[in-house]
Amino acid sequence: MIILTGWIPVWKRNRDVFKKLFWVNFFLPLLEPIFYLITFGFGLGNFVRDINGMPYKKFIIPAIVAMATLSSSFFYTTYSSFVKMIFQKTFDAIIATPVSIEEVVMGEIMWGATRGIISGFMVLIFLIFLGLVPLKNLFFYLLIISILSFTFSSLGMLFTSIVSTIESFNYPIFLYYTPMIFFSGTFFPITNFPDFIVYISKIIFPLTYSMISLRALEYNLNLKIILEGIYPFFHGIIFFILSIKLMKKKLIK
Amino acid sequence: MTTQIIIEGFNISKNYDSFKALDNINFFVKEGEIVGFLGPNGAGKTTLIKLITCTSFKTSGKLKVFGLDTEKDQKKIKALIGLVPQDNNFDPDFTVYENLLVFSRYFGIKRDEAEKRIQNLLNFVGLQNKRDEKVTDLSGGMKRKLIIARSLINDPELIILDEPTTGLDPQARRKIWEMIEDLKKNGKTIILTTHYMEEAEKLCDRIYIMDAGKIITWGNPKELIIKHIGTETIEIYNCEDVKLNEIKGKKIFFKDRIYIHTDNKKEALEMLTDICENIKFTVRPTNLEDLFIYLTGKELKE
Ligand SMILES: Nc1ncnc2c1ncn2[C@@H]1O[C@H](COP(=O)(O)OP(=O)(O)O)[C@@H](O)[C@H]1O
Ligand SMILES: [Mg+2]
Repeated sequence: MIILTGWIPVWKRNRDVFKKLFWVNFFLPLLEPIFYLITFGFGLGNFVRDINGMPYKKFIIPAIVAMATLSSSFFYTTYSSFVKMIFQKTFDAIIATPVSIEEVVMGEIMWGATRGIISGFMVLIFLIFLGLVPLKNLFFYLLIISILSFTFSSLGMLFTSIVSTIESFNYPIFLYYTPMIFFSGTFFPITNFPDFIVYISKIIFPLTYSMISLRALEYNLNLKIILEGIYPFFHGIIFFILSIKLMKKKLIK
Repeated sequence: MTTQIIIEGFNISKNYDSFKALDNINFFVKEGEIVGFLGPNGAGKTTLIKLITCTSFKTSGKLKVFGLDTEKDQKKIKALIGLVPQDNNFDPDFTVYENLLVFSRYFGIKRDEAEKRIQNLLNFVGLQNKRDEKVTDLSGGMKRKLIIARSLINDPELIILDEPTTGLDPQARRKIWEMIEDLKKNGKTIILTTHYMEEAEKLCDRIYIMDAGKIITWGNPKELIIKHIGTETIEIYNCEDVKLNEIKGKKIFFKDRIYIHTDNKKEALEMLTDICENIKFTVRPTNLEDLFIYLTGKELKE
């Protein structure tokens, strides 16, 4: 039972916690993309040849934006949501009010997505400031950031609805999330691999499309780029619906 | 004026997989009553509350709350109920005030109105000086009071308290009893669960005694005692050489004691002292614990 605005109080609750813990929650993790930039961009980038005519420093920019966006959304709806659900019983408290379980889950996912957007946006501004992303690409980057935030926030919630202990997050994280971070054409082009690997990667790691799309944006914006950029959103919708269904099953006995 | 029935349950059963947590239960709650569900751990009290608050669903039977269907009208039903859950499920990240404010949003209460209500509720439960403290710093009794304040934020018609005083010291417990009585005076309908017989006896107009998913008996606490076993209890400690058959009244052998429940204590005592001179015993009014032992052969508390 979803009323279109019913999830907003849940979203606001999460926003209020976030504001209280702004520094630890948010500002410190923002240092990570800077480390990526120093390591891969300015460090490794000096030894690596251009990739398909693109300087390595530029090649990894989409990855750096994606890392910040993904970790901020995905790790919210996994660990934070799980702790709230199992240890703090926050969800139990909320579903005894007129807010339904579907709306609780939706509020969580929407907040995870919001966090991803905020993190991605901050990194983006920083990269624009350094001249590594042209200002004209701001809006397309924001679109991709929003889609990734929603998709991976939903995916995190899907895992949360499946795992039974907090330790078992290691399965989805080490068997899916981490390989995806490395093998989605983030830090090196997967096009050098055999076709079937590229094919599989595109199917199981929607991030691959975002990387391809954002890199192509360096040359010009066209319909193909837009479609590739939007593609992970459909994964997101599936994760979203599944996670709500499974979460309901898990919490309403 | 007829008093309204607020909750009606017919033949309600609830299974968790193949386990029967509630087994064909019938009950009702009238407007303005305090109704208690008394039973040991695992009796099914919390399960029943979950069904009423639409956070879990029955396997079979019929359940109407405010005349509404718990499966179809969840939002309407939940808007009219205030729940004090068995476990204190606060937001540990927030202060006392913030916990109440955040909760008020779930009911769609406007900010200005919420501020007013929070102030009144903090006064009501005596936490006005703790407004800006972290909830994790509150004592057990204060936490419970805060949860009661939180359950009242939507000015509910029906307040449900799941073991409101379990684990509290006697003083905090009495404070909470006073609050519950105040709420009743204000015309609220109240359901509470407990495994403390004094609590049920003191507060409840009617009780349902539960064990292993079943309702064993129900009624006014005092009337139940009179009906089933008698108002006076003689508790005998050294029972070996006592010939009790001649004494009238219900005799229960439990652990190392013998309990004689009777309405005629004078006669029973005379016979007792006739039978055995150095018998050790005490005489006291019968309580719900005695009734529970009589009905189930078990104690309420482990
Ligand atoms: N989600 C659940 N899944 C399986 N069994 C449960 C669940 N919740 C409660 N039970 C079982 O149902 C019985 C009644 O539990 P409960 O309603 O919590 O009792 P009470 O509140 O009277 O202590 C217990 O045996 C308990 O173990
Ligand atoms: Mg219980």
